[in-house]
Amino acid sequence: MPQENQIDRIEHYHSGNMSPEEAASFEKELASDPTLKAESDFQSEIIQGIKEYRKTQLKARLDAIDVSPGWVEFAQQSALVKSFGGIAIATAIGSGVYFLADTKEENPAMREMADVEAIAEMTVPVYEEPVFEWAIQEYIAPQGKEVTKARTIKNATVADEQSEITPVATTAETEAITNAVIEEKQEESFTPEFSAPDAGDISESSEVSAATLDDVPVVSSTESDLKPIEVETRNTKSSKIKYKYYDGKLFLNGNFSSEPYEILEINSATGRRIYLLHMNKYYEVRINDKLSELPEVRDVKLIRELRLIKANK
Amino acid sequence: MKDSDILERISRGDEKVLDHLYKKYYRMMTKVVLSNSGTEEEAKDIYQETLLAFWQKASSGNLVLTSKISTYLYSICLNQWRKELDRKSRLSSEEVDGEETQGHDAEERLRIVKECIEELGDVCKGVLTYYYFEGLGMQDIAKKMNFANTDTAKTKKYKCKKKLDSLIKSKYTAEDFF
Repeated sequence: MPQENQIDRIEHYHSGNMSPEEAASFEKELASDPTLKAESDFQSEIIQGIKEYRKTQLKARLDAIDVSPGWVEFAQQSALVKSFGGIAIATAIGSGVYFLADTKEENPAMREMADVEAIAEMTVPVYEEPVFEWAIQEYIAPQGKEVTKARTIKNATVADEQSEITPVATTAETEAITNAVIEEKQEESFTPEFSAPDAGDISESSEVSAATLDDVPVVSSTESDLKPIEVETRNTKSSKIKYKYYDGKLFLNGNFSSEPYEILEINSATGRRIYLLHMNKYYEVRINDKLSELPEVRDVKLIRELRLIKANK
Repeated sequence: MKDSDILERISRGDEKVLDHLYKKYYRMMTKVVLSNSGTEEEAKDIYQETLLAFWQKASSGNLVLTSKISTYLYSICLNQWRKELDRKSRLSSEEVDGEETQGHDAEERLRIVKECIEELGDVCKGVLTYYYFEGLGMQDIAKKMNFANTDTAKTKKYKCKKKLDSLIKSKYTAEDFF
C-alpha cells in the first residue's frame, strides 16, 4: 500500500501545482522507480475518471436545457416565418371570404367544409436568413361534385406566390375530415407524393371515425386554427421525439435524418386534431408549451383509423 | 447579468449560472461549428466541452479573463473545432490498428473508474468531484456540502478517496489490469 504522503505528492504533481524544479525531480524518481510510476499512473486514471464523471453529470444537466429559439428570436431570424405569416394571414382571410360566401348558397345542414392542403419542402432555417423558393401546383381529384383540391408547394419564390396561396375548400356531403399532410426534411431536397383524399370514401367510413376520433381530446377548434401549422425541427440522435406545440406552431426534436416524419392534421366539426407519424408509429400532438416527450398513440382502433385516413389522403 | 457577476457566482459553485450561459450563447457558439461543415450534434458537443472547460477554470480561480466571456468562449469553440477537424482528417489518413488495443484498455479502465464512483454515496461524489474537477478548496467544499468546517471536508475527502482507490483496485485486479 503506498504511503499517504506519496499519494499526496502524486496528486500534487498531477494537479500541476509543483514548481518546475519539483516536477523535474519527481519525474526523475518516476523514471527510476517502477512502483511509484505504476501508482502515479493509477492515480492519474482515477483523477481523470472523476473529471470525466463530473463532466458527464454537467453535460446531462446542459442537455436538459431547452435551447430552441423563442418565437421572437425565431421570427427575427427566419425569413420563412415572415413569409409564412403572410401566407397564414392570406389563408385565414381567404377562408373567411369563402365560408361567408359559401354559406349563403349551400345546404345549411352542411356542417363543415374540408380543406386539403399539402405543403412540402419546408426546410426551416434557424440560424441564417434563408432563400426559399416555392412553386405551386394544383391537383384536382377526379370526384365529380365532391371536388377536392390539393396544393403541393415547392420551389418557387415565396414573395411572388404569396397572394396565390389561398385555401381551396372541399365540399363533402357528410361530416368532412380535413387531412393535411406536412412533410418536412432538413437539408435534403424532398418532394413528397401527394394524392388528394377521397372524401367519398372517408364519408363512408365516418362511423368509425366519429366513434373514436371524436373521443380524442381536441387540440383546439377556433377558426384561426384553419391555417396550416408551422413546424420547426431539430435533428437529434435520440430515438425519442420531444415536442412543444402552441399557437399553431410545432417544435420537434428527434432523429429525423434517416426517415422524415409526416403530420396528419384532422379538422372536423369538433375541431382540429394533430397526429405525427414516424417510423410506423403514430404520436398525438397536444397543446404543450414545455418541451416533453411526444406521447405515442396506443389505441389500436385509433391507429387503424389514422392508417385509413392516411391511406385515403 | 454582468460578466463580473457571472464569475463571482461561478466561484461560489452556482450551477444556475452554467444554465444561463449555456442558453444565452448556444446559437452564437454552435454557429461556429455549423457554419464550418459541422453537424448540430458536433456543434453541441464542442460548445458543451468549451463551456465546461470555462466553468472548470473559473471555479478553481485559475481564469484570468482579458476579454468578454462571449469572446473567450467563441475563440475556444473555434480552436476546439479546428482541432477536431484536424483529428478527423488524421484519422481518415492514418492506420490506427496498433493503437486500438491500448485505447480499448484505457477506455475499459476509465469505465471501471466511473462505475466505482457511481457506487459511492452522494457526499463522496460531491466532495471528490468538487475537489478534482472544479478544483474547489476545502473551505468552499465545506460550504457547498454544509459541513461544519474545513477539517470535516478534509477528512471526508481523504476517506472517500481511499474508499474509491480500494474499490477501483479490487475491480482492476479482477479484470487483470494489474
